Formats: sequence, C-alpha cells, structure tokens
Amino acid sequence: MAKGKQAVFSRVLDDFFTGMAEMARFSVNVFREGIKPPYEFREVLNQCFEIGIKSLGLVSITGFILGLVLVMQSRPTMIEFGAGAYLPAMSSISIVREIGPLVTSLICAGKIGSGISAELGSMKVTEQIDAMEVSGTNPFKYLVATRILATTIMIPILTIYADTISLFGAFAGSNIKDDVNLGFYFNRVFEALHYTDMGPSFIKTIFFGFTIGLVGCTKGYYSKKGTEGVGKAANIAVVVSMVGVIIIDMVVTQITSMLGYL
Amino acid sequence: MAQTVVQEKAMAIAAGANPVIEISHLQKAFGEKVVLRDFNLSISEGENVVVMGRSGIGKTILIKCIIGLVEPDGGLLHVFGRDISELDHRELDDMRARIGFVFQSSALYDSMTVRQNLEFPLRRHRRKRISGTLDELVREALRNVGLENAIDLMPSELSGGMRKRIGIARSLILRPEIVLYDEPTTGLDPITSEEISRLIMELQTKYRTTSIIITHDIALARETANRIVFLSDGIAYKQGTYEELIHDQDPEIKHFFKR
Repeated sequence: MAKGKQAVFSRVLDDFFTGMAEMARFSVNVFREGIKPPYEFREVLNQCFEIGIKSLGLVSITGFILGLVLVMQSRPTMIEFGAGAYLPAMSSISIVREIGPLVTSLICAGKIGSGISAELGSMKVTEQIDAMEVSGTNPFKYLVATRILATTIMIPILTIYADTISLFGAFAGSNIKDDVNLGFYFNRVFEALHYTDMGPSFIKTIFFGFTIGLVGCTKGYYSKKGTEGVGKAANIAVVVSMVGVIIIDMVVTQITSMLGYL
Repeated sequence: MAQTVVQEKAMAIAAGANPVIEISHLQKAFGEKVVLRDFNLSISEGENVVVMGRSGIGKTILIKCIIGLVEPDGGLLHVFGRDISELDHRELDDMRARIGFVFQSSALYDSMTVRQNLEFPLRRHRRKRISGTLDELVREALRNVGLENAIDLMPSELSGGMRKRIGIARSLILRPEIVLYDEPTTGLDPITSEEISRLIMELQTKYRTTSIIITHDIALARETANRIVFLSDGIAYKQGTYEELIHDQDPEIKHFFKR
C-alpha cells in the first residue's frame, strides 16, 4: 500500500518536473525561432483576432456582472461604516488592481488556453503539423510563436476592456439602490486611481498572457497520440495555466508591495 | 496491362538512370524499440518503389527520415546526392520543395478551405518558382484529381476519398521530383482505392515523378510497383518485382501475400 502511494507520488513528481523542463525548453525554442525572420505578421494578426475579438462577449458579460455584484455586496457594509461615498473608489481599485486582471486571465485560461491546446493537439494527431513542416513552414514560428505573442498582446488589452466594462457594472450596481450621476461616479473613480494601481496591474497581465499561450501551446504540441490525449492535454493546459496565473499574481503582488506601491 | 507497363519501365530504369535516393545502413530506434536496424535501398529516377511490411514495422518512419521529419540515429541518407543530415534549415526547405509527401491521414488543414490548403505550399516555398498564378495552379491541381468543384469546401465537408485526392493534389502542386505516399488507400473502399491507384499512375506519368509508396494494399502494389521492398526486422528483407515476390518461397513473404 505504502509502495503504491510512493509510486504515485514519484510519478506525480516526475510528471511535474518533466512538464516544467518541457515548458522551459519550449520557451527557449519560441524565443530562438520567433526572433528570426521572416516574421509571421499576418498569422499574429489572425490569432489576435481569434483570441481577442472572439473572447469579447464572454469578457463583457463576466466583467459587467463582476462590477455589479462587487458593489451590491460591498454597499451594505460600506454604508454601515459610513463609507458609502467611497464605494466608487473601493470598487475601482479592487477592479483595476486585482479582480479585472485575475478574472479576465482565468476566463481566458479556460477559453483560450484549452482552445489553443486542443487545436495544436488535434493538428499534431492528424499530422497537420508535419504537413506544415513539409510545406516549408517552421511550426514553431507559424503556430506556436504567433499564438504566444497573440495571447501576450491580447490578454492585457482584454483586461483593460474588462476593467472598463466592470466599472460600468459597478456604476449600474450603485444605481440600483442610489441615484448616482455617471460623470460624478467616474470623477470619483479617476480621483481614486493612480498610475501605481494601473502600471503593475497592466504589467502582470502581460505575464498572464504569456503563461496562458505558453502552457496551451506546450501541452497541445506535446499531446500524446489519439483524441483522448488531445482532451487530456486541453484539460491539463487549463489547470496549469490557471495555477500559473495565480502564482504570478501572488509574486507580482509581493514585488509591488516590496516596492511600496501597495 | 498496367503490370506490363510498370515492368517495361522497370527495365528502362534498370538500364541506367541515376539514383535519386540512396540509403545505406539506416538506423532508427525509439527507446528500446529498434525500428530500422540496417536498412539499405537505392532508388533510381522515375522508379516506383512500393515498401510493404507488417504494421508498426517502420515504413512510415523510413519516409519521414527521407523528408527530414524524423532524424535517423545512424547510417547515410542521400537525396538528390545530398546528405540529409548535413542540410541546414534553408537547404532542407529547398529539398522539401522538390519532394511531395502524401500523408496517411491526408493532413488537410482543418481551418482552411481546399483552395487555401493548396495555396499554402505555394505561398510558403517562396523560393520555388512555378509558372502560373496561384489560382491557375490550384485549379490545375484540382482538375488533375477530378475535384475542381471542391475548391471552396472545408475539409470537414469532404469524404475520405476526396480528402485523399486533395492530399495528393496538394503534394503535387509544387511539381515535386519525388513523391512519398504514406498508405494512400488505407481506409478506403476497394473501388475508391482502385481510383486512387489509377490516379497515382496517371500523375506519375504526367509529371514523371519518382515514388515511394508505403502500403499494405496488394492491389495497389501490383498496379504501381516497379519494385517492391519488403521491410522486416529493420532491414530491406526482400526486394523484387511483384511477380517475383508473389512466387517467393520465403514463409514470411508467402504469409504476407496470403498464399
């Protein structure tokens, strides 16, 4: 029994370190191949469209609801402590610093990370990646570097968009019980927000985007043969990129705090 | 009738064409599993070589080594007189532009239409010049395989036989000198298989290509082979024309050809 547990533990550790090594080797290849011309600008734009535009609906709905719920949940406590006037400031700082980037990235890890992984996995299984290589195309450049670059560009943009929508959601939430003017509300929001709130938050979304793209591509590219392997790769890609996003969030928060921005 | 034509061609080739593919002592293993142990083969220009053998014996690995998708562990592999292992990325791409590869699964890009699938190698192998506009070349390739009307369809809208034909059209669009077919009739009904066999022969005659055809399909081998190589235990176990192999007394060959 103990031996069985030991074997499982050793397999989990082995999988973990193999996965980490795979990803490290993969990122080195991405940088090495990605910086060499010719560049795949058209494919990057295509992927930005796929990743960005097609995620707008989901990000809009979740962003709006998050802002709305945040204000509705916080309002009674804030009123109780006589801090109702700080509701716009509290909601905007929470949204811009933490909730917007984290929730957008987690949603994108689920939607985009699994999509990339499943797409590359099925391309691998059906020999489309080999066919691309035979057609004079470096799959690392064309499929992997472009997708990672696209997620690195689009996640920060989607986050800014989600933050904005979320602030409108928060405004709507404030208006359910109170009567708040839009101009007044956003005046209070911008009074409360500083570059030190937005800067680190924006920078961490770049890392979130890179992680989501890297994990999705690695897991898809190395997925084992067969449809079961593709499904498993997509599943692991979601879990690993979500955990990665949360760990990066923790690290960035710690660094921001050490630099005195919190 | 087809057999007479291929035999005549075999005699002409034997009379002294240059070898375009030379493989000596090729080795490839995956961990403990040795796939190619000491494989030797020389293929002359214009020759049709069919490689047969049991499943999982390393036939696909062999042609993937030839096109540089799999790196051999040892041995020499010369294509058009150049050692594949010594080519840099650019030279390998140029070499690949001269070789067509028909994948077992057809490997059509799911996210692209038939037109885009056919345009892809033309756009990517930028250094290879072929006369004609993209549209003309794509339409001619589709005409060759009798599927001109499928130009705007997605791969998901095609039947298995149509996918194979489009796969063949894509691999021939760059006018390659060598075509590697990986089980071109697998999963097809006998009638469609026969059509694919006929198509391979027609295109071969039209573009004068050299071919290696990996197959288990004895009818396809009979129709197309100038020479059959039987791969077993990592070596070219037996070679000969279809007639020679069909009458061979070796138990493994007899068993394979179900005699």
